[in-house]
Formats: sequence, structure tokens, C-alpha cells
Amino acid sequence: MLRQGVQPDPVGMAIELTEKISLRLGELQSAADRLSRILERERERTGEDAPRIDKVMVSIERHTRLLSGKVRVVNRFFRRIGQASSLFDLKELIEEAALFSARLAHLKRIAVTVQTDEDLPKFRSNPAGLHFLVSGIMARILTGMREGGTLLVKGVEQDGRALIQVEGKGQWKEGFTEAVEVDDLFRPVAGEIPVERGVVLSSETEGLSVKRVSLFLDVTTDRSPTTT
Amino acid sequence: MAPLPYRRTCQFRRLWYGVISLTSVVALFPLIFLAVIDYRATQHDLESEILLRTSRLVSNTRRTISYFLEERKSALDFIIHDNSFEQCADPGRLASILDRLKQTFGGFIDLGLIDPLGIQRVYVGPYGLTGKDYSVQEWYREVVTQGTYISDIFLGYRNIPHLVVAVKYASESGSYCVLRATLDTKKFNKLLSNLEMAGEGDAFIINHQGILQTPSRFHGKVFEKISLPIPKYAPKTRVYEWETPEGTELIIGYRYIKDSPFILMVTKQKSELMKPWYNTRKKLIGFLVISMVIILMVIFGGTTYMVNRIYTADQKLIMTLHQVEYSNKMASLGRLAAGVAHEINNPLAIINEKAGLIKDLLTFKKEYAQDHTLSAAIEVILSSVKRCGRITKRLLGFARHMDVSIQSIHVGEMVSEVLEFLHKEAEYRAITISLDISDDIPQIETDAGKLQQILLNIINNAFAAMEKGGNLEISAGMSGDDRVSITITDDGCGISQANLKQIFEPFFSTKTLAGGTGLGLSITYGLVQELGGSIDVKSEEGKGTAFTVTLPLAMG
Repeated sequence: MLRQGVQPDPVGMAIELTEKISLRLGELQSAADRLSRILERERERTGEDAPRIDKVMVSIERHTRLLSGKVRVVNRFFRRIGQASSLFDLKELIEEAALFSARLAHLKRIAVTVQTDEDLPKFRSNPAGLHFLVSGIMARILTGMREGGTLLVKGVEQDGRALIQVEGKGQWKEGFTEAVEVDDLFRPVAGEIPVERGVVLSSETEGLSVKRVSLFLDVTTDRSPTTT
Repeated sequence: MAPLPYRRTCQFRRLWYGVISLTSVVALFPLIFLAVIDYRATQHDLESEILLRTSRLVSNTRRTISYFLEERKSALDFIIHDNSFEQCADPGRLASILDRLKQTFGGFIDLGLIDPLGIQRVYVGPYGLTGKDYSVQEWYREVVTQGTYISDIFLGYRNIPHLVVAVKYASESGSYCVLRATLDTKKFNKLLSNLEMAGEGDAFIINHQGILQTPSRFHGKVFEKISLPIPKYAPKTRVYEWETPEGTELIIGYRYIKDSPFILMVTKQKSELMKPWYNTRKKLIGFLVISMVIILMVIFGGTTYMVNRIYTADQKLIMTLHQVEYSNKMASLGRLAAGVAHEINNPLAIINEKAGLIKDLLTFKKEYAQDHTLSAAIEVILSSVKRCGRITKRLLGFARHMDVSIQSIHVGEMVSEVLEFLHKEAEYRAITISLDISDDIPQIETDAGKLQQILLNIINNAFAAMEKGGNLEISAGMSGDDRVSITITDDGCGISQANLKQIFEPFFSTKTLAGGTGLGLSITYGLVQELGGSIDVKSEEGKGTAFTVTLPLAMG
């Protein structure tokens, strides 16, 4: 057997690391549950510290759940990203792109809201290409915005097509033209996304404060039950 | 959809076929076209020449025969006009005239004088034909009517083939006589037998009924009917081609001889006449075939060489593009992972802080100080946070390595870091890993991400080649003053000598059915070169493989 078939797999390493983190977070969650149960049992002993301890425990459990959710999303992203083409859920893609943009949004104090239809259809494409495009659109809009403001990411079905829309509302940096930015983003990934199947990218401005980029995807042929 | 490498190979195969076909057509078509034209022109010229020569031969021979007959007819005409009937009727004088004719012209056998009743009054010659009655003979009636007559060959009273030339003399008183001479057919035949003819030629004379008047080589004896069709009358010489029922092609030339019952015919076998052309044709076709073979060999060799060069250049380009794409993808993933690591670190810090606060709260209350269950639960939380932090740090470190950056790297640490990713698999498959990293290796200045990738890829390959319970040795040491070499040796299945030459080529894989794309080692090769190093492989089938990567201490 020749070994040329084995590929370098940094993605695999990232998956392994996120799974390890998940494992540790599970242990952490379990320990936190155990501690909560003990403290509940010993409530009379904690006395005046009880409300404060309860609050801290709620915070720990909340952050652990939040963290587990994030790690799950990252793990899912890395699992899919290595494939050349797959049929995947656009809702998950939007969720991942929002997570990866969260840090920049947090630094600029921009509130990110995600609204997606529950039954948003699946789409077959190069996941890395489409992910790059959606994440790129969000990052460019965030970069163009001044501090404060809001970012709304919508995923809806419209006229038999899936629409992913990124809308920034707030004050904008001078010279920021979303149309140019979008063109720059689309060019390198155009070959990886099936343009011939109805991918349309458009941008629009509403007044001085709202800039919106819409990505339409023709999903009519992708309603098969195949999963990623 | 076919796999990319297969499609690309097909494209180059199509290119190869296309170039071969196009250049072959462009090069060979004019050659074949000119050869065909030359072939047909030469053949046509030769055939025309053959026809012309035959025509000339027939015309010349006809002139000779006509002259022969005309000369003798004129001699008789002169005699009968120069001598009175009485003089001619004198046998002595007639015998004297016959002698002079034999001496002067030759070919005369006898002479006879025939009166208007058709009775031969006087005869001089070897046969006793005096008093013979010719009044009912066809030739006699003809000469009386026409004035002169040349017969075809016949047997007559003497029962020997001969021909007769007769002239009529009419006096002013209205009476007439006929002077008749018999000509020797041997002399007549000799006129034709002396002809020199190539191509199995045959010359003979027939009468208008197609009866042979002279012997023929191929068409029968005297008085036999020829197997050839009797040619139609034409005032001039004619030459035509005719094929016998046996399939022999003949060139036939003929000429009707004026004032005689004779048709001169000359036949030649076309195949014999065309022999020189067949030899020339052989040479021409041979030359054409050799030229075509040489041209095709040059086209084949040249095209194969050129397409191979283009293919190799294309493969290098693809490999470079893959490497660029791979580097870009890794850099993007690295930045992404880095962002995520920060997103994980922040909640971890909060959890750590909160768990620390509870620990403080409970530690300072003496009623909880001895509660081991509580402190154990808190310790689990804190240690889990700590472990998560460590893993996140690795993720961050891994992410940093994905981006292009030149760093000072300790080879031993880098090897250990890579092995951390694989130790679970090594444990599961009971693979023993032994390290022999020399202490005297200084830190090297190189791209950490690429080096990590090189090591990971080679070790991954080694793992894939080994069965359960295999042994992997990783050693590192100085190679000269300014280079470090890292050798990864496994005791796996090894690589055949035939495959060993190709393992660094893009798309070469024996595991394509198992999903391999054949890019792993080619990318590794490219990465090593980018770091200014070299990679060497030694392998023996069934015993194992050793990859040695040699890198400079600092990138140029």
C-alpha cells in the first residue's frame, strides 16, 4: 500500500481539539450540577450566602451551556468545511457565520441578531466557498460600520429561493460602498459556488443608515433528504 | 463526475490526439496529393508513349509492305506496257524477264500471260501451269474489271500458299491480256518477322475476313482465323487497348493496306511494356511510405515530447495553485480558529472566576472547610476550566501556525507537539514511537506552520503504512554545519521501487479508490522546497520506509 492517499488534515486536528474541549465542558457541566445539588441540599448551612451562591452557580451553568453551544457549532463547522461539495443546512451556516463574526461585533459594540426560518431549505455547494462569502459579507458590513448600531442576519425562503440577507443599521465610515466590497468578495469564490443555479448577489442602501446585502440561492433542486 | 486528475489526463490525451491528427493531415496531405498527381501523370505519359511507339511501328511497317507490293505491281505494269503481246507470249523472253525480276526485286516465283478467255497462254516457273483456265477464278474477274489486282494468300492449283499480283493490258483494238506473277510468301513473311518488338509483341497480316495471311506468334497459323476482333476500317493507323477473355491487356495497332486485301496488325502485352513503370511505381510508393513513416515518427515524437512538457508544466502549475489555495485556506482557518479560541477563552475566564469565588466563599467558612465533597466538585470545575484553557491554547497555537510566520523553533518541541495530535491513534493501534532528538540542535528559523504540516503529513503516512503494533522512529540531528535533518522511519509495508520514483508527483496515488487524491506527498515536497530544504526517501517493500527532511538553520 502506498501512502500518498493520506492527506494533511489541519481540519481534522481542529475537530479533535473542539471535541476535547466539549469533553472537558461535559465534565465541567457535570461537576457544576453536582455542586448545585449539594448546595441545594445544604441550603440552611449557606444561610445569608445562599442567594449569592445561587447567582454564581446560575452564571457558571449559563456560561457552560453557552460555551458548549459555541464549541458544538465550531465542531460542526470544521466537520463540514473539509468537503469539496455537500448538501447542508443554510440555517447552520448562518449560525456559524454569526458566531465567527461575534468577536468583531463585540469589539465594536454592535448587536448581532439572527432570524432564520425553521424550514430553511438545504443547499448544495462548496461549504468553504459559501461560508467565506457569507462570513465575508458580515465582516465587511461590520468593518464599514462605526461603533454602536445593529446587524441583522436573516435567512428566509422567498419565491422558491433561499435568501440570506445581512443588514447593517447605524453610522457608516466615509467612503464605504457595500456594492464594491461585495464584488470583491464574490470574485474569488465564484468558481466554487454553483452560479449557474441561480446565485444572485445584490446590495442596496436605505436612507443614510441602512445598508443591505442580499444573497439569493436557487434551492428548488436541493430538497432531497440527503444530509451532510 | 470523473475525478479531476482523470479529466485532466483525458484533456491532454485529446490534445495529443488533436495535435497528432492535425499535423499529420497538414504534413501528409500535400505529400500524398503530389504523389498521386505525379503517379497518374507519369503513368499517363508512359501509356501515351507506348501507344505512340506502337502507332509509329504500324505506320512504318505498313509503308514497307505497301512499298513491297507497289514495287512489284509497278514492275509488272512496266513489263506489260514495254513489251508487245507477242513478245510477252514468247516463253523465252518471259523467262528472261522473270530472271531479271528475281535478280532485281526478289520474291517472284513465276510469271504467266493469260488471254481474254482466261487461259494461261504462257507460263514460266517451277509449276506446269500452261493452259490453265482462270476464267472462273475470282482474282481473274477482279483484274479484268479493276486493271490491277493483289490477291490474299491462297493455295491455288499448286496447293502451296502464295499470293498473286496481276495487271491487265488493253490494246487500242479492244483486245486485252493479263500478266500475272506469283510472289514468294516467305519474302512477304520476312518483312514482319524482322521487326524488333518489345513487350511480347506480335506483327501479322490478316485479310478483311480475319484470316491470318502471315504466321503469328500468339494468334495462330496461316489461314486460321484470329481470336481478336477484326478492326473496323480506318484510313489511318489506329491503336487501342483490348483485354482478352483471359484478362491479358493488349495494345493493338492496325492499318488497312491500300489497294490490297490486307490489314497489318501489331499486338503487344501491356503488362510487359509497363514493366519499367511498375519498377518506378514500386520505388515511388516505397519512397512515399518511407517519407510518411519518417514524418509520422517526427510528428509522434515531437508531439509526445511537447505534450509531455506542457503536461508537466501544467502539473507543476496545478501543484503550485493547490499549495497557494491550501496556504490561503489554512490562513483563513487559522484566523477563524483564533477568533473562536478567544470566544471560548472569555466564558472560560468567567467560569473560572465564578468557581474561584465559590471556592473562596466556602473555604473561609469553617463549616465547609472539611466538606470534601464540596471541595472536590469545585476542584473538578476548576481543573476542567484549566484543561479547557490548555486545549484552547493549543487551538490558538495551532491557529497561529496555520498562518505564514517565521519563528524560532526547537525541533524536538515541534515533533512532540505534532505527536500530541496523534498519540490517541498511536495508543489505539499500539504503535510504539521512539524519539532520538540530538541535544546539540540549535533552534531553527523557519515557518512553523509549514514544518508542522510536513511532519504531520509524513507521520500520518507512516501510520497509514503500519499494521497494529508497528514501530515508528523519529530522529533529528545536525547535517553539516548549517542544516538540520529529521528522519521518520516506519516498519510498515514499504513502497515498491517503481512507485518510489513517482510518489512526489501530483495526483499519483495507489489509494484513489479509498478517497486519496494523490496530493499529500506532492504538497509536502512543495512545502519542504519552500522552506529551502530537501526531502529524501528510502524504502524496501515489506520492511519499511524512511523519509529524511533536511532544512537550513535559517531560511534564506
